[in-house]
Amino acid sequence: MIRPIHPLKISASTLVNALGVGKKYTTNAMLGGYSGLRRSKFPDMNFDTFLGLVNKVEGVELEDELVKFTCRNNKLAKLALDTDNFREDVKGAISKYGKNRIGVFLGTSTSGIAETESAYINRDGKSGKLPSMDMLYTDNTSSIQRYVCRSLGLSGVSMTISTACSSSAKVFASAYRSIESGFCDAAIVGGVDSLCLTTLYGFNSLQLISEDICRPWDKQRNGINIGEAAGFMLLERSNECKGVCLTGYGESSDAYHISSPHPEGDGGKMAMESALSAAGVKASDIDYVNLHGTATPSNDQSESRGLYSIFGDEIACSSTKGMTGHTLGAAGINEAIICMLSLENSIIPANVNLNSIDDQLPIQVVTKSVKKTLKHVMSNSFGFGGSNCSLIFSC
Amino acid sequence: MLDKNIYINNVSVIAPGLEDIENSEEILKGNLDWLPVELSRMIPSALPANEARRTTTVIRLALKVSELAKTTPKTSVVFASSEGDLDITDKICKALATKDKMVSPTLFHNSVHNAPAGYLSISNNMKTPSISLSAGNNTFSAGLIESISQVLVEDNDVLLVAYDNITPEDLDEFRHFDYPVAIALLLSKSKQADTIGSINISVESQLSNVTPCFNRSLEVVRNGNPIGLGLPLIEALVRRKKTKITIPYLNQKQLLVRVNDV
Repeated sequence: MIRPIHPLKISASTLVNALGVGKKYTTNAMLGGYSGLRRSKFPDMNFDTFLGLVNKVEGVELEDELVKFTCRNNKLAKLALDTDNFREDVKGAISKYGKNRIGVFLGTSTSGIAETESAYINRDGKSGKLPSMDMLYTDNTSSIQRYVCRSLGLSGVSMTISTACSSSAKVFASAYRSIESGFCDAAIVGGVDSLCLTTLYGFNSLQLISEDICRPWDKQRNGINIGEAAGFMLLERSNECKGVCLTGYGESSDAYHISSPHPEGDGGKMAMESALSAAGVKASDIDYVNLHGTATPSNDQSESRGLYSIFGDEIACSSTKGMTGHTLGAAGINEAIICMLSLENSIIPANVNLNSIDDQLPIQVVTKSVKKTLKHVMSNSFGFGGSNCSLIFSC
Repeated sequence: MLDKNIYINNVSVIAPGLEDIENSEEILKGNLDWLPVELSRMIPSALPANEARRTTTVIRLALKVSELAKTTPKTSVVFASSEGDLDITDKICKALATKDKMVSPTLFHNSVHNAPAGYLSISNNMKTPSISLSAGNNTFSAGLIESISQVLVEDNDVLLVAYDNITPEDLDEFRHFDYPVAIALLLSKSKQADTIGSINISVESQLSNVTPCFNRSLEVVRNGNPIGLGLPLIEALVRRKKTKITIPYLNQKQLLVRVNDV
């Protein structure tokens, strides 16, 4: 790898999450330090928790010619594509590069599986047959990528990355490699994950869901709140770092356990070190770390130890999952955009929902949002299967 | 950069009738007709017993084809699968359709698309990056693109593991595959002692004829599973044949793979 990597400029972006439809709602919450999580229910769900719901997704309709892609996940994607002037910005990029030279690299964990869940729930009582569905256009992991390509009129290289909760962080690495090796000249990166019973009941079976609002880094933290989100960025080559750029990425595998992180955070540490090396910066150059910070006892402990081994206890950091929930396959892009907003608006966002900070963790989080000029920020995303990715953004 | 040669150091295939290595080689060379012999249970040899017990057929298919390639702690892995584990989707959706909706924790953590990546990293103690992707019916091509971009840009050798299993009964009507197929390719930037050939690829917009299997009896496998689309490339590499292979890709595109000498 060439180090430092060639920076990629973020020339357009859009974000939808529980805080609102559009980046400004997330910026406001980062400034004000408040949460978008609510005690709410999802159809067919019979336990208590807080959710990061995007209520506006219900009313979205896909384009007539793309109607067979209809599922909650692609509706959430469309809501984001139609926000923050993103479609217009992509049109500009198409006229600059051509539709064949813009790659699409998206992350999701569960895609449109809600359609398949619903088919099983509505199985014909007599014949036992499932109602008709088109799985390749809804349930399939790549449904999101094929929908987004069609919706934006793009036909370059594309793929969907699904590595659990690091999915839409790893898209940045793939996009960088594809641009660098010549498969495309620019890239759309992003991620979409929507609420479904599989993740709600699945995480609940692992006793990882909190009945309460999630409290990353709190002494009493006891699990995640699931949220949904869709976010996209347009990345272009840039000879100079103008605006906000991706300047580093690092990936690693824990090789430890299929669903628990390494207790000392070794895998996360490797990803962070590799990102610093790719960016050609030192740990002391990083002004803020947006933590993976899921609010499970084991994640926050593991991550804090990995972080401490690199940064010591002098690093400003926070988890924003108390604001948006854990958006799973969309967490990477959700928090990458939060990092971009941190740099653009000079904010270190507060770690919200804290009652009493866990003083056993070797690193402490920022409890009140701070206005500060930032130069380099890092975002961590760690997933099941021990899949780790750290990103560095700079301005 | 795309005109650079990428070296291939190992190819392996698992599908019905293509599990026995010597027999497969004769079939892939076109010396023997392919016959659908049922797959074995594919017990992963390197995984600790308590982890191996938790694996599913899909995970074992991916691990088994990976075992045939010699990886090192410096090998990165690209997993490519259109569907991942539909047996698990079926079981979880059945559980979610009951009143109490009890999902098995093991099923849930195995349900992630990167479950085989997790197991492989544990079994081989590989802390290198791995990625798990899908591109629907064009998943093999997307996996090859990601693998080649990794070889060109990163420092590690790359193992591409592409796999898709057959679909469970309830879902078969909506996504049918004729056979399970898994393919592994070990790629590197420079020539190695065990290099068997080299390739370079480009994405083409002009539609030309997709290359069929050299051994025409394998056409049903190529057409019967998205990963089967990689078979003509595997045949060319096994036959040490300098040739051009055209593989379908998304958005009316094709991958043109030039298979060169060592």
